[in-house]
Amino acid sequence: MTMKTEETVLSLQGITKAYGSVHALTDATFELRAGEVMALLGENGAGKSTMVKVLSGLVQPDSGTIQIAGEQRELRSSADAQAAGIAVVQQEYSAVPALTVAENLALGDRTRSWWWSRRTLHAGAREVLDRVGLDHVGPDRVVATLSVAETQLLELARILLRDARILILDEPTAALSDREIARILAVMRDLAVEGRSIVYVTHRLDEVFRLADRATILKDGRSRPPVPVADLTHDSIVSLMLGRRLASMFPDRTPVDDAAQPRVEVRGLRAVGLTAPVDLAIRPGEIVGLTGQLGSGASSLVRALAGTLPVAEGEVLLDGVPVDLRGRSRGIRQRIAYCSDDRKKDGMFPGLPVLANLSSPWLAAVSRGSWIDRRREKEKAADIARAFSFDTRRLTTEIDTLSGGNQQKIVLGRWAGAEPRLFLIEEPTRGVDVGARAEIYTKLRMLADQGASIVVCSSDSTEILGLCDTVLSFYRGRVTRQAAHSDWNEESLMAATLHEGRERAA
Amino acid sequence: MSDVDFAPPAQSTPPAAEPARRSLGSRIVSVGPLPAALLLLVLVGTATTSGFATVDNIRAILTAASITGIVAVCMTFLTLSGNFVSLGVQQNTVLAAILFLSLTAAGAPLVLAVGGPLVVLVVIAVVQGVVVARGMNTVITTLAVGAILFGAMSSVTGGQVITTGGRSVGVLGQSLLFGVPVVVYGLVVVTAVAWLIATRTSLGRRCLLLGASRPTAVLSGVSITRTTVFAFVVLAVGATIAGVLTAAQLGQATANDLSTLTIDVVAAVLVGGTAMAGGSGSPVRSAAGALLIALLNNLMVLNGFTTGWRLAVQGALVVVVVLAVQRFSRAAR
Amino acid sequence: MTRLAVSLHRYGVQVAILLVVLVVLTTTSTQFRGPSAAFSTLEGFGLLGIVALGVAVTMIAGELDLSAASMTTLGSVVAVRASDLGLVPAILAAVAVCLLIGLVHGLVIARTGINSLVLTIGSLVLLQGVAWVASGEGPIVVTNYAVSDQVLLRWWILSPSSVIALVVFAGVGVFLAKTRNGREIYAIGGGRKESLAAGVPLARPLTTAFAISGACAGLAGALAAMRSGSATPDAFETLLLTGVAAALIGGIALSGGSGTVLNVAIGVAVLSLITAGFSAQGAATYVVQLWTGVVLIATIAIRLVLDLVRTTRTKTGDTT
Repeated sequence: MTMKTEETVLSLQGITKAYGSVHALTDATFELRAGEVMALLGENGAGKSTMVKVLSGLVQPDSGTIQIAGEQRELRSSADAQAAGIAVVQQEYSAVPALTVAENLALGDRTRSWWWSRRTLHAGAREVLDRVGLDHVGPDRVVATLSVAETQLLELARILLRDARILILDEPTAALSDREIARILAVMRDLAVEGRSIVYVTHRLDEVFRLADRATILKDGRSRPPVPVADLTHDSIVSLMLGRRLASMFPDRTPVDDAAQPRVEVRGLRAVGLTAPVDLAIRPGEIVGLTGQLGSGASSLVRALAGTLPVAEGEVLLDGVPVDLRGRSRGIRQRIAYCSDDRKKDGMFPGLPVLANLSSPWLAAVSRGSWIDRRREKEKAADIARAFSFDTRRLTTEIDTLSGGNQQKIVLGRWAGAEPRLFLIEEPTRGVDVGARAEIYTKLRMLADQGASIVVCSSDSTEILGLCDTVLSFYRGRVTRQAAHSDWNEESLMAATLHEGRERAA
Repeated sequence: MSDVDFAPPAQSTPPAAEPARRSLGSRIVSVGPLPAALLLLVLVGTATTSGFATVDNIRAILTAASITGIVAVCMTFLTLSGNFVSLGVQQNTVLAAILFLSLTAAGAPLVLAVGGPLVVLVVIAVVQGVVVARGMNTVITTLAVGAILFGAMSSVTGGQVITTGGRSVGVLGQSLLFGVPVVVYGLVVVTAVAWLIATRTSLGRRCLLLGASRPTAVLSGVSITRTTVFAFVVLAVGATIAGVLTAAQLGQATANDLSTLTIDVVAAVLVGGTAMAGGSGSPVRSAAGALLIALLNNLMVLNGFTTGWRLAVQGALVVVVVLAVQRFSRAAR
Repeated sequence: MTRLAVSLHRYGVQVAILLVVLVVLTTTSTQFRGPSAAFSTLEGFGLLGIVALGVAVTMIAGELDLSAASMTTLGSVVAVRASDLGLVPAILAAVAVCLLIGLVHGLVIARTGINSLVLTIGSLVLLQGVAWVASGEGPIVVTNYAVSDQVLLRWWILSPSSVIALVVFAGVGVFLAKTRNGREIYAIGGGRKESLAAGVPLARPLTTAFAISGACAGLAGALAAMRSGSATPDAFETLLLTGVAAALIGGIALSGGSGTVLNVAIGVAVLSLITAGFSAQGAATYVVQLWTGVVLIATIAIRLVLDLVRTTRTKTGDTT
């Protein structure tokens, strides 16, 4: 299929990277030959994105060596990586919206002349744009006016312009249509034929079979030796990727009262990212799991319910009463709690003590007028801390100094204090070590048993199957299947989110 | 499920020991090197500068620190909430002074003479707060409003000196009360109230939350508009108090008065160590910062430092402190 | 978007404000007509224009240089102090000193990651002090008026300082639009993380932006000092407001990454018109300040309203 040689152009040995107590990569190895397409596979949290960041110079490993073309290199910045002949198509932070298409193609290229005339900028731009399927986009167009898919394709065009020997594509097709995907795969094949090496990170297994020569599979931060794709099947990849984690990590389910009035009724809800209307009923004490790839719509549903994404149509009833979904403060007043998937960005108040973090959503409950009853604030915070097995003596420490697991306990616990009727959580255990995970699952089950309805949006299939009572899978903005947890297994869940069943099921 | 009980059943863990109450000493030390710097300046001043440790000079320092301090203490909420600083405090304060004097001269009772400027400043503050909460930069907005106020005051007064017209302003006009300058009581009361607001009320807490992380605050139901407006209103109250006290003490005002107030106030907040990115700091620190700036300026005047050197030292101090705060807070992260 | 739509989006509101101000001033004032009005408006570019241009470059980089006015003062003092060396060396000395200070600003901000407002508010005071000390605590005059008289020429509506200003505008404009470093200033202002991921070395455009701001302030101060043959350490106190205001009124966004020198020029023209118009009527400087504030607030308000309209429109657009 492509020009293959045995020459190794890139080799990583013994790469270890830890964030606090979480090991993202443990003694991982990776190798890449000239002219091959290497698929980099693994579940969410298996270490793929850390591996990509190491290769692109954005993250420095704690230990391990990187050899490029037989020479030992250190990649301390993306400029270093570029100098080493590595070009990366990022998932996010891809193009500068304020600049034009042609300028973005030139950005960061230190080999270009100092003078950016229209002529030199346009030189070659048209050709690469056509090649990646942006034939309708002019080089002078401002990137802010491009769609997400077009921006992603532009990113690909940019690395075509570089004389990079090694290309890394981190889920380049997540936002693209079938036609655009086909285009990207064709371009990739051409590049490999030219002798370039490609690292292709994806969740879509059919693309792996269409494109890749070999696959490196990561699991829990550890790598397996590369396997020729010809020797693999869908099923064997899935079983190599799946972590058989201990079932004891999850708390026992309490049977949900099927006869109970639904706590939440979602009727024909549509929002940005949800192309088909969603209907869903959640009973008190039930934990519903939503899962799908990036951009599948699972997270859109959660955000629409949280009031951070405008609802296009449909309505939501909470205990039989229609809910006003405009904005977070209204949601909080109706006792809807929401934790986003980015704890560091919008889940905690860095620099402030645990106590102030915990009490932030329910300050009014412990205040008379505007006057905070500090004794009640402390008591309630201590109650939550105890309920979440958090050392009450550490209430005065700053939240930044805690481990990821403890931070996540505080982030969840602070909402528990707001006595939510509906609790929406994205990626509840991202960046949390295994021990703390079990605790977080127990706490979520405890909240459900106390009567809350919980919606968990997660890309971790073990978590979805182990924790939730009902599971919905999403693909491209619509629900592909909704069923009780007992009707799912790891394989069927993965199939539903990767939507390989397109032919089989539909 | 109106009331969720979090106390775990049966095997409830014994309530963990509360952390040992922090001693007064450790609290003071935790305020940072500020008290040490103040003490050092006093010692150096006493040892090297004749005329420093006299009753009159100490009163002069305290008076100078008080007007700056009152405004700085009240501006802390703005800085805490992540909205940087206002560069229009001089004009706001002078406006309060001029309105107070004009109302007094017109025969208004004290309540009205103080309430009038307060209402005007609060209205201006609400407008600024709304604009800033909508995403406009605080520094620019306050500069522009300051320019408008200055222009309007100058146009209306025609550059004339405004006086009380010989009417008495009661206790506010006395320079000393029990041997201590009246303005010092103002600073003490304002600082105490501001400290209570910052630490004991949800309004103050929300400023802190907004400054610590804007996205988290929004997701936690903190209203950016309400909190920002509140911070501006506190500043307006501070500017009113400072303006009224200045006017009552001097008995007169012009649009050009208090020309170094803005710089002094900003310096006091920054030197006090309130982080400009928001989320950490305290009104008490700003009061201490104002005292430090006043002490430093007094020492420099007594030692014959010229205007230029005083400005340069003050500016250099601010630069050094903000760089230190930046470094410290980055190291903590 | 067509080219016309882009231009309308970039300059539409600003040009409208300019026209309104122009019409109001010419109809209310009989003295404000013809070449003399054009001359005094263009003179505004020599001081306000160059300073605003420098500040605008830092705004495009997503930062803000609050020390520009203090640097202008320092530049004027340095120029007068160096005037014995001749006109050009005096101006160059002022530019060099302020450029150096700008470089230091940029390096410190890039190195420590400190917010530029915080740092430059400190150096605003510090540099004011330095200007006082350098001037010997009061107004200073050039010793040889033959040096400074060279800038007092007038060619129809132009003068040496307005010509220099226009050349600087053109130069900075070309630099920003056509060079790698210039475009990187837009890039770090319009998408800092994206630029870093693309391999833009942050320190370089950041330092360049603050160096430009410093050099512009120094040049403006030197030109002003040479025009009047003197320098005063407490001059230019209102220049910070008017400089930033000119950039904002012209349509440079504080969020960074957008706007061109043409935007700055329009903003400067608006404020210069107001200044020239009011001084033609003999109004006091505080009246000019008042109107500067009013126009600035009005511009901000218009922009907020337009943004609101735009976001509600895109929100409903998403749903269809």
